[in-house]
Amino acid sequence: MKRMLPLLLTCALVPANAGTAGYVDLPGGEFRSAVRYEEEGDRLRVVPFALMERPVSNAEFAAFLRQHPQWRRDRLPAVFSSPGYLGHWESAEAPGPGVDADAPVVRVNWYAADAYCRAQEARLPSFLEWEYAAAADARRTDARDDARWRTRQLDDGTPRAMDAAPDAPANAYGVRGLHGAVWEWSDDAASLPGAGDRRGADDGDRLKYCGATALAFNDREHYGVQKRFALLTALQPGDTLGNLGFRCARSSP
Amino acid sequence: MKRLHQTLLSCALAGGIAALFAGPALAADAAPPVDTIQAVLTAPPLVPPPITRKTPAKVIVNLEVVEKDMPISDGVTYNFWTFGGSVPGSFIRVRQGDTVEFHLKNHHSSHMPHNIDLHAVTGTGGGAEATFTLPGHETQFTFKAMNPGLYVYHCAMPPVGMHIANGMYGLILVEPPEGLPKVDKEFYVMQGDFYTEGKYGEPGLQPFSLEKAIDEHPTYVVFNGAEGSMTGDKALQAKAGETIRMFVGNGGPNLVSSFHVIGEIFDKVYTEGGSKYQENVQTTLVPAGGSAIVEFKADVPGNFVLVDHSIFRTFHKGSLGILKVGGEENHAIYTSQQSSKEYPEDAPDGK
Repeated sequence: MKRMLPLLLTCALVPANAGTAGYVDLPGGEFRSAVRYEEEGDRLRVVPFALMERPVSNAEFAAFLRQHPQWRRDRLPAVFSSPGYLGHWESAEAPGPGVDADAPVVRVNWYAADAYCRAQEARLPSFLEWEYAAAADARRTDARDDARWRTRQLDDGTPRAMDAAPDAPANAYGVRGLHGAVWEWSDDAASLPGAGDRRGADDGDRLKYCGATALAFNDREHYGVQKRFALLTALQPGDTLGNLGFRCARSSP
Repeated sequence: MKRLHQTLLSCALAGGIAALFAGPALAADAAPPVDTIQAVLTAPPLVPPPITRKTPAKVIVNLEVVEKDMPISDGVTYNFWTFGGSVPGSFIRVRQGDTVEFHLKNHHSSHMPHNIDLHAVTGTGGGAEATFTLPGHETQFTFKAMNPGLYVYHCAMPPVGMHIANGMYGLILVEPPEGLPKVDKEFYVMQGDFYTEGKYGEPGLQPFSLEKAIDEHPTYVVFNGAEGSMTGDKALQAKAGETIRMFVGNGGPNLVSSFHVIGEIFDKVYTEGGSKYQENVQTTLVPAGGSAIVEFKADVPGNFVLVDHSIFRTFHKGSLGILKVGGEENHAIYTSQQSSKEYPEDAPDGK
């Protein structure tokens, strides 16, 4: 009995559906995205995957930099560099006392976010995976029919966001902070404008202008997702923002 | 055939001669502008000074997007998204033929990208494509002010309706080369409809209501971004005998305004902000995303009330401003009440 106690305790601390440490397993399935992907129907298939419970923190990113110093702001290769990259940190290797170590790391460009996830043998989530996970509130895996809850998402990316507080409850999957004060990189958003030839062409840029916006969404009233999608399609991989962080995902084996 | 040739030739010649005569004027317009001018920008109800230049210039406009909480009514605040820190945004004044170098900054504290579509621009998206600006970034594009008139500008970033509903609009005036007739006072007045989760007057920071915006049921309909923006100490001021011009815009996003000043008749209305004016107008329609220039002489003193004559908006949603005109009374034009009395019930007037 005495020997079992520590074991039980350990189990109790890990959520039932947790994957590897810090990751939460999501079952996937058929999902209706608010975004209209070309040549796709309404319902998309999300394959099972795992998502980090929380966005990557300043402390975690600092630990990554100790292992991979080439991603420090003072050593970043010119091709990946961007103005403002980790510019709010006290030094090149640490956030310093002025920055909350547990808060999501921001001012990280797509290249560094991608490298962080690769170092974890993970990857950035696709926008669809992100949207699927973020469709859940604390009780329901798809709460998007709840107009009041959905309206709260208009504050995503601001300090008023519903998941902005560190102790905001996890959603039904056990994922936290998806509707937080920081936006999050997605794998495909970063790859959209990078090639340059998509600029001013069709879908990515079409979203920026009057009128065409409504055509690009299955759900024209989900402004929370529209705002996020508009932001992500606008970003270049080298861009950094004071309210843009990331978390990683893993494909299920 | 020969005759046809001759006709063609004379046409060509005539064209050539016309071109010759037009030559110097065209060349002057096409030559690189000599002067580079920093545009004066003003918050409502102020208007930048009239342009006295006789030649086109290169005009540099620096406009910064700022998201900020401001009062929308007594005890009620709203998180406005602004061009230049005010709702409506800064008034921009240029001259037809000017080359405008436009710089759009998006403040570091902004939570998302913004851009600007100026209805005065001839070109893709009115500049929206060229000014797609992330927080903490600055973009630049250049356009020629081809057509004179009073034009609305607004943010065209998705979701467009929400950006406009949060106050992202303003006016840009392109003066004709000869300028506008001289007046004593100019004011900047722009209407907008706002949609909050709380009902009218519910105190505190009120979030945007998408549902009410889609239903086109505004909680507030106001001039210059807030109820009371032009009342009390902030009333517009003029003196009897002065000529007044109001640059009136309507940002919407949904409602059309029936703009009226109680106790005045507009001597001239440049309808829809264009070049032609109608005379002797009581109420003028200002479309969402459109404008009008109204002019009148303040003949007599008094408080003249700016309203949207879709009148429930004035009494229940805030669309009310005051033009306070001081000076000497002129009883030949208007007397105050001369008498008030009962009349006998058995002797009705006119019988």
